[in-house]
Amino acid sequence: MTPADSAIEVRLRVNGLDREIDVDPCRLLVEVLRDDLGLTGAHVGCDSSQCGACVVLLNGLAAKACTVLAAQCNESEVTTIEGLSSGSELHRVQAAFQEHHALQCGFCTPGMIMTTVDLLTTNPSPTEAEITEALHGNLCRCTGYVNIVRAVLSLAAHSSSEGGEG
Amino acid sequence: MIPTGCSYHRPQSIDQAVDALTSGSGAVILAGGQSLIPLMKLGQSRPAALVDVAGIASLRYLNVEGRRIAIGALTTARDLERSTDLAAAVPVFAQAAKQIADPAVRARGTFVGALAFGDPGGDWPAIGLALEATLEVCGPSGSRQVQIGANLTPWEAIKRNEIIASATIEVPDGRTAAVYAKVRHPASGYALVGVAVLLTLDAAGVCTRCRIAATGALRRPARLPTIEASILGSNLDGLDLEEVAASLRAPLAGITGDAYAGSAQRAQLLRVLIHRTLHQTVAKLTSHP
Amino acid sequence: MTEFDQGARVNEIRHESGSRTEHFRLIRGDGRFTADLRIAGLLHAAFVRSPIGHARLVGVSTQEAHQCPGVEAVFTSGELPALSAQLPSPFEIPGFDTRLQSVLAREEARHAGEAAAVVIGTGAQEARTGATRLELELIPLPAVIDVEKALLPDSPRTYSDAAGNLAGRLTRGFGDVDSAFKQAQRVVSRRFSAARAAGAAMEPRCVVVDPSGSDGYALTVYEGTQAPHAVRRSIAKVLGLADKDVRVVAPDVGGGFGPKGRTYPETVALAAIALAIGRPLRWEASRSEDLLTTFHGRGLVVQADIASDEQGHVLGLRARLIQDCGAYLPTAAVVPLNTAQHLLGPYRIPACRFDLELVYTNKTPISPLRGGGRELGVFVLERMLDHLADALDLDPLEIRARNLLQPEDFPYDTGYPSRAGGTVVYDSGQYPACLETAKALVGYDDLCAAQEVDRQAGIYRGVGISMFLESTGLERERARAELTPGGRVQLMVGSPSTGQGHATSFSQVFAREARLPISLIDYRSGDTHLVDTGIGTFASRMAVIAGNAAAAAGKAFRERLREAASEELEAAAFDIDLAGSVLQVAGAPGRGISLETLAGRLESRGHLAKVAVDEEFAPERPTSFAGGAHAAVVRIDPELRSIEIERYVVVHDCGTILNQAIVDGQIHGGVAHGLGNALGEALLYAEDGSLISDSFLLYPIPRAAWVPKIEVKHLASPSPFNPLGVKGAGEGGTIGALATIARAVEHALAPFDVTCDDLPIRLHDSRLVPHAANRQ
Ligand SMILES: Cc1cc2nc3c(=O)[nH]c(=O)nc-3n(C[C@H](O)[C@H](O)[C@H](O)COP(=O)(O)OP(=O)(O)OC[C@H]3O[C@@H](n4cnc5c(N)ncnc54)[C@H](O)[C@@H]3O)c2cc1C
Ligand code: FES
Ligand code: FES
Repeated sequence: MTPADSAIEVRLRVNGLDREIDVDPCRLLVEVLRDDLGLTGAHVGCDSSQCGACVVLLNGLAAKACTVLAAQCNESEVTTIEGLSSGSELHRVQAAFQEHHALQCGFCTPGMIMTTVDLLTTNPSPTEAEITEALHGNLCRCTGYVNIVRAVLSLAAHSSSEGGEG
Repeated sequence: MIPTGCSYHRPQSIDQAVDALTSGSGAVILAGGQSLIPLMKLGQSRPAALVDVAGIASLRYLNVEGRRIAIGALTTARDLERSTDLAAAVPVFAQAAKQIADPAVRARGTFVGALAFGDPGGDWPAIGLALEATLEVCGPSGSRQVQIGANLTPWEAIKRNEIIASATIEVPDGRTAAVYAKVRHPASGYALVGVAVLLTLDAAGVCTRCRIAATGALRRPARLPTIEASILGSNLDGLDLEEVAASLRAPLAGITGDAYAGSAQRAQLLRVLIHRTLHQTVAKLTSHP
Repeated sequence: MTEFDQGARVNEIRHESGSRTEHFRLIRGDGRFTADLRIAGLLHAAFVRSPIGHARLVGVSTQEAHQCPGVEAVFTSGELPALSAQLPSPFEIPGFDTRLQSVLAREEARHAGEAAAVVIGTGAQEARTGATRLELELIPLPAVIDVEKALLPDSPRTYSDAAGNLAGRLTRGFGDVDSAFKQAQRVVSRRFSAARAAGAAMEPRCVVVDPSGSDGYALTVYEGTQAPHAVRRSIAKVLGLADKDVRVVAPDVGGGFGPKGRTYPETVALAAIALAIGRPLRWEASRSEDLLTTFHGRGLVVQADIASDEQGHVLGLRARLIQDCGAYLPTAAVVPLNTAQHLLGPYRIPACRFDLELVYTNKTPISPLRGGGRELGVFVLERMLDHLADALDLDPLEIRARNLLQPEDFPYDTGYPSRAGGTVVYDSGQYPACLETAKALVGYDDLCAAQEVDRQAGIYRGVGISMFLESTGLERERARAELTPGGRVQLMVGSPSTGQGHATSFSQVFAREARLPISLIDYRSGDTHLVDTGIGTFASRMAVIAGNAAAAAGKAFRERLREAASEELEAAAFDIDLAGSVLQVAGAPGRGISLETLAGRLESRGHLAKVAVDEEFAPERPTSFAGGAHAAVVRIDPELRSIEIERYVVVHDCGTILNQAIVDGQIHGGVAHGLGNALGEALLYAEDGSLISDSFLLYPIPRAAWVPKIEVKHLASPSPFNPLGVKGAGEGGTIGALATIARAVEHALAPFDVTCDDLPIRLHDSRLVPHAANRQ
């Protein structure tokens, strides 16, 4: 990408690494993450900010990376799905998604997981209704949400930690 | 994706923001961006310059003093949803916030931005109207206070080069309560129809204040003064549902519709929601006199 | 933790349960979807499209676009021969006026979204910005929108050189329908319709084309497609290349559902342009473009008549099916054929006649979409049974019980002409048990009994139960396996996974037959380079066809391994057992060789290829029939006219289950898709043929809060028509849901005499008792 004259400088911390980039003011955070930083875990599933495939944590809160300009993220901290766990360790939300078969094609999954991380941070023991409400902005065409809700519910603080398909 | 060709400013103060708005033609304020950026992505808005006000630290506050709430321009829906002070003082904020979009959008979208924008299906505008917010508007010639009323909406109250620094809401003393309810559009989640009601009853149960604002069903969110007038003065303690319902039967003016929900359908939903929200508001006042 | 009892698992193939290894990359964000590929020197394409349904294209002004910074080139249909070529048709329909789409529109655009120019830019943003500056000079023509009006003599025409909008007619059926209707004591007639709907896979379409030849192919194409081999064929044909010159790879595919099984003009355009300019190219659809141009599904009107005796025994069925095909064939043609065949369901129907009319309109072409037309056949049939039951004052479940095929009826020759020749024969099933189980699980009798009391309290609750049947497992598929130098096994299948967990299921089947640990198997698919043939991942065919191919490959692989080991261990091949990853001479502990050592030795002697297999499965009888019963409980707020699904139960029979978690997942997703179609999804067009529902702001995909916790119970009647006994499970969720929800809603609103024969169901148009405030 050749930054035009109007390019602006943005400094941000992504998955723990400090980054300095020059961006066109109209470029979206998700485009910069995917194209400039090679972090393709956040996906783009729509152009109306409805699907949530692009959700990342921005200063600790879920944000639709397709609805934030990279320019707005100056001095901000971004965590993407790639930064959630390291090595062969899985974050507990990732592990629950694996265990409960909460994904099929996997396209919506990074966004689902990041939204869930935010949910459990603000509300460690959500009810089923709170979970489905929190996932209102994350669309999935494959799973019917059944196993996604199950996975999240298994992480709720009040839930016993047993898992498996039964 | 947004086509190229827009400049970007990061003012550090309100004055700088007003300067940026005034100097460039086609400059607009960018707050949470949750209305503006989707429009730009779909090519429905092509501003020449963005004035990002997020860096103006003095706009980021939420003050709750008794029943007086001051909301800075950068306060998000999520801030309003999660403030325990606010939930105790004016519970309708949290109740409405939970019905708006999703947590990711709420984490960025601002209350004041929503008032300034006045989306036809926006939820906050109905709250702002029913609770008669007072706006602090800053422009090239200083700042002024504007009270939102039956005939004045926030988006009409400001000029292109002005910025709303805050919205203040003072809930009247006495037996007052407010409720917000909506039917979500099945696709967008915005209000297909939404209704905010604020009622004050006197000791005898007579309605001394009635504010009803609707969204979704109208060209822009608006108060419904005729219906308000028909409720004002009624004794609502022994709320007679049939009687209230009858007062809603009058034809509603200016109801909009689209391919998904025609105007007749929205009118029907609107009446049902008004009836239900009135009922819920009275129920609140009755259970917590 | 689960709704399944032990009995439910009887027929699950028990091996090491597949650990769904494909998940690991995806949950860490390491998936590789087409849009994630990075190739040096990549240029980006943006298409310029007609915004309206029908227009004459008089000119294209490209000047301004050329001047945009970052725009490298602009192409219109005249620029390259391939850009004005027609997309080849994979099959012919005799007697049809078959019109095919050209890669870029030439003189006319016949649906909104039809592309007329391509802008190539250094970045996606530059290309798109350039595209906004390019102007198509269009003269609007009258657009054909309504499929029924399209058949009227005074309708505008999609093709000005045609006599009308009819692409062709087909008739299907058997038996003496006329005398069945003459003898009938009851005849019920109804009209049904299903709105157009979108596949709306979460990954929008995306194509990357690499002409560098670095992998030995003239052209390598990456696309999230369901059918890479078919895409390869079309590209090769249009560009005048041989199949062997083109490689098509489906990387991770973010959902398919049918429409991603087609070859699209954008793919061919990119291939042609990339070859011409010698640069790799990428195009990524925005969601709006995807809704506009990715083929739609449904779009059917049916007029049906059912004849029965006084006891409700069906004597005959007649239907006229009017299929909206959009502007181009041929993929639409298979849809009403599937619909017609599935109008028979799992019942004994002595005679039928179906008249199919395929109609051109100025809309996006139609493709099979989850269900492939079967869902509407089942919808219409089940609705007709409900209406017949009402007419005879019978319980709708009773009328089903009276007509259902019994287990001993199988294999059952329906008498219906099969597309593969002969007649359609159902393989196996236990439909009465499915019905009874659904009835018991959902508590049908109690719900019906409680209805009156509930209504007194203002609660409108209803229950719907319906049956479904699904033809699955067409055509052929290959599985290859090779021993790698490191002693692992690479298993390869032609058609890709688009979320169905093939890596897990097929590795598991293969490993079980080969007696190898599943952890040794690396699965790859969806790459024409690896397996030269493949039909595609649709029509619930992969478990049946590729599953059996993988099983055969596993069996053969075991033999190859034993042969290879027998030479090393100097023992007869039949004496060699596989235990874990060690090949062992039976009865001689200590005489064994690990797979790794064996592979190393074979490799050093250049004999590794001896342990390689290539098995095709192409069953004589092409289909197995999955089926079962769905039950739904809905609660309706008659004032807000909102529908809440309180419970949803699926009793499912897909024969042998390869991996239950995966099958359950398919059912969940299928049901959710069906709920969407039943309760809201509709692609609406304006008079001028522009698409109204062109974003997720207007097209409602089911969200988490309104899909209930779907309960699944399995009954298994293994198919006698294939060695594993499997039946497909990819679409039954959708197929069964439509009629089930329709009945549940009707049942809940029985006092208001509401009929739910049009999809999606819209209560706002129906007469319910109005809320007090709405009373006139
Ligand atoms: C997926 C999605 C779903 C949504 N669903 C809902 C919903 O259900 N209900 C609902 O009500 N809303 C919904 N919204 C909109 C959301 O609530 C917006 O955030 C809000 O309406 C606007 O706030 P903002 O801070 O994002 O404003 P911005 O987008 O930054 O600005 C909006 C407009 O207001 C102007 N503006 C902003 N701040 C000021 C100021 N201080 N002074 C003067 N002008 C100003 C801007 O110039 C701009 O024109 C949704 C948004 C998204 C992306
Ligand atoms: S890409 Fe769909 S919400 Fe961000
Ligand atoms: S798993 Fe495919 S969209 Fe969710």
